Amino acid sequence: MELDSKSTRALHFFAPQMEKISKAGIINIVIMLLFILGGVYALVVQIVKGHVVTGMRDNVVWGIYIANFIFFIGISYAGALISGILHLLRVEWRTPIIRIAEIITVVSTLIGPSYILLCMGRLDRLHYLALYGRIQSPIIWDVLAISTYLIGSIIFLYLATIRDLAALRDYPFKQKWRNKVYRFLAVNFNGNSEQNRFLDRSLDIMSAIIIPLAVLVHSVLAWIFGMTLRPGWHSTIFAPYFVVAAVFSGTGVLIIAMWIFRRYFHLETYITKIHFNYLGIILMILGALYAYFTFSEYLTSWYGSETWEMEVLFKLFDQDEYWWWFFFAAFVGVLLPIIVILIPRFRSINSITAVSVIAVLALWVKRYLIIIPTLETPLLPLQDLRPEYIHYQPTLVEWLLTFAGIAMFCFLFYLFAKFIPIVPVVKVKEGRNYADLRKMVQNRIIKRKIKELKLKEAQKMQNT
Amino acid sequence: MSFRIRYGNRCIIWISLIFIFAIGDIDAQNTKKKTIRSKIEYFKDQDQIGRLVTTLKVKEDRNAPLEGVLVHFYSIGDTSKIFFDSISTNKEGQAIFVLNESSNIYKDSLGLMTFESEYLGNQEYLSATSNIRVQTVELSLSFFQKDTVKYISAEVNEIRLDDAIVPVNGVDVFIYIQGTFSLLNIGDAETNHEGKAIFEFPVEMPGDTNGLLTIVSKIEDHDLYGNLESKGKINWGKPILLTPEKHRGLGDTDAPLWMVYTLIVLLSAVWFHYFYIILMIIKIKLSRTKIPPVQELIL
Repeated sequence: MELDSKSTRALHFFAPQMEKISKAGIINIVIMLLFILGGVYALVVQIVKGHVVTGMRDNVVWGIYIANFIFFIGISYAGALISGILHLLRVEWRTPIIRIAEIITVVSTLIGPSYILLCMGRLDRLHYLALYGRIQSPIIWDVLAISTYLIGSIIFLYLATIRDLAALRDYPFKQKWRNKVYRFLAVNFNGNSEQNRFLDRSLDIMSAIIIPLAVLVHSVLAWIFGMTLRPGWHSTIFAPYFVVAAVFSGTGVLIIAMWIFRRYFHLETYITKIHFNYLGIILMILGALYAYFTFSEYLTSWYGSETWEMEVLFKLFDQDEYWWWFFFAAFVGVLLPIIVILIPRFRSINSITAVSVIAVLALWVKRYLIIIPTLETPLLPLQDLRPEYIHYQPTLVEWLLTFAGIAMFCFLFYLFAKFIPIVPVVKVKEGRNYADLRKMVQNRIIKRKIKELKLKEAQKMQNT
Repeated sequence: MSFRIRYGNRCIIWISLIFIFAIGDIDAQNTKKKTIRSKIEYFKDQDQIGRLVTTLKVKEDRNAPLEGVLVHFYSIGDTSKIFFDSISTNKEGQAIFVLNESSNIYKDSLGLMTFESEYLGNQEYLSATSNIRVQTVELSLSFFQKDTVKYISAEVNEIRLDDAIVPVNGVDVFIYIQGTFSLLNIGDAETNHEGKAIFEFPVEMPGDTNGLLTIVSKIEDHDLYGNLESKGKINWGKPILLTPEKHRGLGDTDAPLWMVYTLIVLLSAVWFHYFYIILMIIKIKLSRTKIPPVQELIL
């Protein structure tokens, strides 16, 4: 495939990087694999001994597994919404970050649902979901929505990489298997006008589909809680609240990923401060929106003074229970990113990344606070029960599997980065489209004026 | 050689003996068997099959049913008795023996039958025996209508040894209507000299979709006849066409149609586009630029 000079330069920058693994890379892989092995060990313990090794009991039946599930599905938004919207709006600066966002989507959508499997007591009955699933159950909506979303995300990522795969196909790799795989995946793409037209149309369609699909997926996730008559869950704004929280955390993870790749893959020329600033501003706006939803949610609960709602609220504001967690999740994690990004003096690549880390952590804690205090507040009073049946405490097994999931996320991300360029190498000249459009509009204006002039001349002739 | 026991030693011996007897007494108290209350009843249902039901209860345990012990059933004659079977008691402490045609039953000249049930007891419980004396009777149901009034007639007849049928006078008969979960009592009356008890059927009694009702007549716990039951069906009820109100519930097996349609539309829309894009990818694969061979270019 013929490439312009910029694309060729980019290809020769990324392709060699993809073939070799640095010492730091090997250390990172070993660390990630150690965490994953720890997770495998915890998984074996859980399978052999059962869910008694977790902190989940009769009352608190969901723990950090579900918090992790919501968290990972949430960050998958980074790719879906950001890349989808930026693609549809033809935003010029999106190119270096769009691939990272798309990979985040696919990887997190793969890892997130696995926590549901960890949470299930009888995995041998998993196929019952397909056999006896009830359409009116939000759980089934979730299964359908997430599986559809995952397939959509993979298709979207694949479409967005076809041009790069074609370029990589023609690059002389030392590892010949790469060329074979790229040849297969590049589907004979050589950049002719017809192929470009098909590919652009497909990308436009997928960008348009992936946005509502992503909104729907997280709404469905919120409805699992919102449609349950439990204090702290039964809320009409839960769906948009979850969506905003998801985009907020997704943007945070995107910024962190950008910072890591920029630093360790030396992408300073591709990912610049402008990208951090723009994404930082998006993070700030989403943070403000999220703060508004949070305030609205808790204000409504508090004002209603409903007994069980108040009990959950008291737990969140009780210093012996969840206050410090709540303070971090609802105040520090939201206000700090807004303040830091709002004041230009504080705005730098590192500061934006730092507040993104805080925001992401705060959002994880928020998911924990959505699940646990509510389950610790059942509608029937708890009597004569052991404390561990009432209060949830994550166990080592759960933490090991949580860190294993994060390690797996990083590991898969790393593998993707070793297989496809983390920044798109083939540049698409979208500017030309706008120039064509301008020319077309100008031509029409000229034609109309000529027509008007002709009409005027004809009228003059008639008059004379 | 005289053998004298010192006063102090004698005291010790006496105290020891008293202690031993005291312990023995305690043991005796511990091994005291519990009393069993036994009651035998006779039942005869619609199919004219008789059943003997013996209920065992432990008096000392607040009449708790005695489960899992064997009860022996007999037919008692003037000089001997015939063993039927040994039946184990259930959770309710009941042992049920069904009298079938092959059961040899002693009957006296009036057709009276005597049954006995016996629990032999064990280390914990005392034995218990109970008897019942029953006359063979038949309870039958019939329905008739005079003008607009509907009547139920329950007829009770004794069956003598020579198969002679004698109407029974002065027996209480109860009439019920079979409900879904229980019997609805609609009255009771004594039989007349013809052995008949007549009941006026209540109007506006709800039946099934065809107005069909199951009428049950009973003689309950009679000293001579035991418990008898007879059933009959008649469509005197008011037909009830049930159109249950639909309420949405968590356990519903069927999803609302709007939900099914919405899901189908949404999923179809998305998957249609997925397939369209797969088609586009195939088109991309097929529409690569074909470079003509050099010879063709020269020609």
